[in-house]
Amino acid sequence: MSEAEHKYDSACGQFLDRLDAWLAGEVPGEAGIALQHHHDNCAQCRVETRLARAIDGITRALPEHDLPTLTRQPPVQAAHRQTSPLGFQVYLARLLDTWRQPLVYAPALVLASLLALLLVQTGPAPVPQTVTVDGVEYNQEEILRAAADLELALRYLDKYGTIPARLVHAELQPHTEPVPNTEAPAI
Amino acid sequence: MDAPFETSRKLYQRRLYSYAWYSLRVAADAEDVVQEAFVRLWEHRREVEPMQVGAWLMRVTQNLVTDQIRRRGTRARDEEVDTDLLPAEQPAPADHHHQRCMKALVEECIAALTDPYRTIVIMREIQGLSYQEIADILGISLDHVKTDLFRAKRKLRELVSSHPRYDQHLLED
Repeated sequence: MSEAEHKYDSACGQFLDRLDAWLAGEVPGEAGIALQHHHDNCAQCRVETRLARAIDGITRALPEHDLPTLTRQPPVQAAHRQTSPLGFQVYLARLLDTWRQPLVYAPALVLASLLALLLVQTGPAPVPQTVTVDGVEYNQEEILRAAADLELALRYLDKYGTIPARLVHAELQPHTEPVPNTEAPAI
Repeated sequence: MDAPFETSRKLYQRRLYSYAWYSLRVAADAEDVVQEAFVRLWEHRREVEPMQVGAWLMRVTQNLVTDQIRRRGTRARDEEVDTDLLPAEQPAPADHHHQRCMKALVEECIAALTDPYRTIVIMREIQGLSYQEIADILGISLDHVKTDLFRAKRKLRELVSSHPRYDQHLLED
């Protein structure tokens, strides 16, 4: 017979309301004695008590479970992969998995070195307006912008695990028109 | 790999997985929940206080389990349970059979409890957390924990006693 079908009078109702607290020793004094008295004199409530004790025994014996598989990727890699879905973002995310990939580090170092050379002025020689890398010509503005974008991309990837779309599609574009020389020497 | 993160993972993985498993009763779902919880910890690793990592993870896992249950649309039914994780059906003395049946029934009814009752029963009765630990995780008072626990156990008892597979003879030794 379920508790719902149990003939329910006020005494049984009170007993069932406090049964679990009573079993846990949380009903001291005369209230506890009264519950014990009802338990001793009510067959149905004794059945309920037996069920409560059985459930307690079963739940307390239930084991904790360990993760059954070890084949899942570690959470850190999962975090990076979740935020780099497709295309260039995936490529760059993989390259930067451990933050020490030379394929990303090297271009940044090359550009930084070029910037340092451009900025160091050892004499009256003018700072070159353009730099040629692998046969492709770039002006100062383009190099500075690409270096800034790459640095920003690295910081963003570190913090958020992804790269903003603007930086994904940013490329170092060689200029197609001559840059006006504002410091053309006087003739 | 971030060392504190790895420490947290080793410390709390089992507890989180157990909670998710007893709530969802499907190993793959429980794994996904735990994986997602640690992914979120990684994403927020600089914002979570080290002393609060356990409670934070538990709350995230609780929310993920709730979302999973909601997606299912109903409680975990028998057919969704990983039967290979249940005790094998082998000829056994009657008392062992009764114990197995009661155990399966109780596990099923625990998963059928609503929150916060399910969470409190799992934390207190299965995982053995103290009232204070449960109060800290759930952000409620000690008295509230005790009250909810007793209500949860009564609800569990009602579910078991009204279950179609329940028979009073299962209580016999």
